Amino acid sequence: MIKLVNVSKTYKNGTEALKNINLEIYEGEFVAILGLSGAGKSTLLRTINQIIPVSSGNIFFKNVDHNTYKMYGDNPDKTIENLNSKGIDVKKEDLNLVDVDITKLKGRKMRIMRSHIGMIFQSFNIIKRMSVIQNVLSGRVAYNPTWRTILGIFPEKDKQIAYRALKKVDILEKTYSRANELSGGQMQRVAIARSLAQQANILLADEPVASLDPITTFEVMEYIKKVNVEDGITTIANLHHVDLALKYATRIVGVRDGKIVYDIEVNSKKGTDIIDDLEKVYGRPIGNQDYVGEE
Amino acid sequence: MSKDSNEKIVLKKPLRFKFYFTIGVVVFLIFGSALFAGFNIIEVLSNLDQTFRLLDKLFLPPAWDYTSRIIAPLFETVQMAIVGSFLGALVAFPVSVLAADNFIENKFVNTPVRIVLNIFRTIPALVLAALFVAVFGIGSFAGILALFIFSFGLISKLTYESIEAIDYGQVEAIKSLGANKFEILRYAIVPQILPQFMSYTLYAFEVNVRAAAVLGYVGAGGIGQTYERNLAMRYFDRVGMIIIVSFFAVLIIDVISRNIRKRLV
Ligand SMILES: Nc1ncnc2c1ncn2[C@@H]1O[C@H](COP(=O)(O)OP(=O)(O)O)[C@@H](O)[C@H]1O
Ligand SMILES: [Mg+2]
Repeated sequence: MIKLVNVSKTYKNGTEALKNINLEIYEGEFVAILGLSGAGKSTLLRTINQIIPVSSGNIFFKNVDHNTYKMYGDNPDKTIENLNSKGIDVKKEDLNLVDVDITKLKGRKMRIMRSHIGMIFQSFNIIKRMSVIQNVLSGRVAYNPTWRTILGIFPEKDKQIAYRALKKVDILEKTYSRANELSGGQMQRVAIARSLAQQANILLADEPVASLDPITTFEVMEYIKKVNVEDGITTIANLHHVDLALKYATRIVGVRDGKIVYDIEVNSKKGTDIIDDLEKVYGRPIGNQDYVGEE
Repeated sequence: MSKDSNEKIVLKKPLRFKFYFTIGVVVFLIFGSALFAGFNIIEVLSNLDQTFRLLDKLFLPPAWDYTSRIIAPLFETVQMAIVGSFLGALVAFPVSVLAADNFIENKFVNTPVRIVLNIFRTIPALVLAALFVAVFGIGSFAGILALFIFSFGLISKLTYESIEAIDYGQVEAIKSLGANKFEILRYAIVPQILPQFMSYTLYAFEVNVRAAAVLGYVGAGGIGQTYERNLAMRYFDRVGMIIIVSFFAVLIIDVISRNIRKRLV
C-alpha cells in the first residue's frame, strides 16, 4: 500500500530526523511505531502525507488511479468488488492504476492525494471555535470547490457522510455542540470522524492517546481499531505504550535515532519476547511507564 | 596557618561603565532637548497666573448652551474614527496574512510587507492628516484617510504577530485534509485569531477617537476643527465646553470599548 524507499529527512537546523528509511506497509495493517521520544516517529508519519517534505527518497502509494488519485490498495480487484457491493459503480477498465510517488506531487494533485490520508494527533487539533459538524465537514474540503468550503456550505451528500462518521464513533448527539465543550476523548473521536469523512484509505495517528486517561485511552483505541477492521483503513500509529501496541497492532516497528531497528508481526512471537526485543529499541529496560496498565 | 589565608581578599568590582554611560546619555538627552526646545522652568512658573486666567475664561463658566452645536462635529469625529478603523481592519487582514511567516513561508514576501508596515506605523496620524489636508483640501476626508492608514498599520502589526503565535497543530491538521491556502486560512487561522483581530480593531477605534479629536486642528474635520475655529475667534467659554464634552465622550467610548475587548479575548 505504502512503500518508503531510502527516505531521509534533515531539518533546516541540521537535525537528521530520518536516516535512509525503507519500509513497506500493507493494506489493512495496523502498524504501531514505537521508539523513544525524539527517535523520529512524528517526522516519519508526517513525511507519509508530506506535510513535512522529505529531504531525499521516495514514498510510493500502490495502485492509485491516475485520474482521481483514489487508492485501490494492494488488491485492486477486491477493492473494486467491495465498492461494487456497496453500490458504487467502478470498472477496472476505466481506471488507470499506477504507483504514485507522493514526494513528486505538487499543488492540487498533492492535495487530492493527501485528502485520502487521514491524520489524528496527540493534541486532537480539531477547531475548538467551530461546531462538531463543521469540524467533521472540514474533512470534505478537498472534495468541494473552494467557494463552498470558504462559505462553509456543504452539499447534503457530504452532510450525510459526516453524520455517518459521527455515528460510527458514537458521538452523533454532539453534532451541533461547540468543539471546545467536549472532553479529550470526545475530541479525539471527532478527529477520527473527520478522517472518516475524508473517506481516507490510510489513517496516520501521532500519539493519539498520549494525553488521555487510561479508561479513555482504551475507548479511543477501540474506535481506531474499529475503523481499521470494519472500514479496512490501513493504520499507522505512533504509540508510547507497549501494551497498547501488543493489544491493538498487527505489526510493531521500532524506530531509534532516525532508523528502523525493529519490525515484527505481533502474532508471530510471544508478547513477552517482543517486550524483551523492545528493550533494544528503547536502549533501556521496559518499565511501568511503558504500560497504560489495567483496563 | 598558612600565609595566604590571612591575606586580604581584594575583589575587583566589574566596571559599570555601561551603566554610567547610559545615565550620562539620558541626562544629556533630557537637558539637551529641553534647551533645544527653549523650555525654561522659570518662565513656566512666572506665567502661572496667565494659565489660571485662561482656565477661568474656559471653564468659569463654560458655554453650556453651546453643547447642542458640538454634537454634530462630535458625531463626525466618531464617524471618522469608525470608518477609519473599519477600513484599516479591512486592508490589514490580508496584509497581515502576507506578513506572517508561518503562513506565507517566503521571506521575499514577508520582509517587504513588514518594511512597508513599519514605515506606515512610524508616521503619526497628525502628520498624515496634515499631508492629506494639503493634498485633498480641508475636511473630514483627509482625516478619515489619515486614520485609515494609521489603523491599518496598527492592526496589521498586531494581527500578523498573533498569526505567528497560533497553535500550528491545527494548521497541520487542516493541511492534512488536503486543504489549499485559502481553506487553511479559513479553518485553521481565522478561528484562532478572530477574537484578537476584533479586539485590535476596537483598540484602533479607541485610539482613533482620541486622535480624531485632535486631527481637526490641521483642518481634517471633526470636533478639532470646531475647537480650532472657536479658539481663533477667542470664544474661550465655547472652547471650554468643547473640551468638557470631548473629554466625556472619549471617556465613555473608551470604557465601553474596553469592556467589549475584555469579553472578546
Ligand atoms: N521542526 C523541526 N525542526 C528541527 N528539528 C526538529 C523539528 N521537528 C523535530 N525535530 C527533531 O527531529 C528529531 C525527531 O523528532 P520527532 O520526529 O518529533 O521524534 P518523535 O516523534 O519520535 O519524538 C528530534 O531530534 C527533534 O528534536
Ligand atoms: Mg512525536
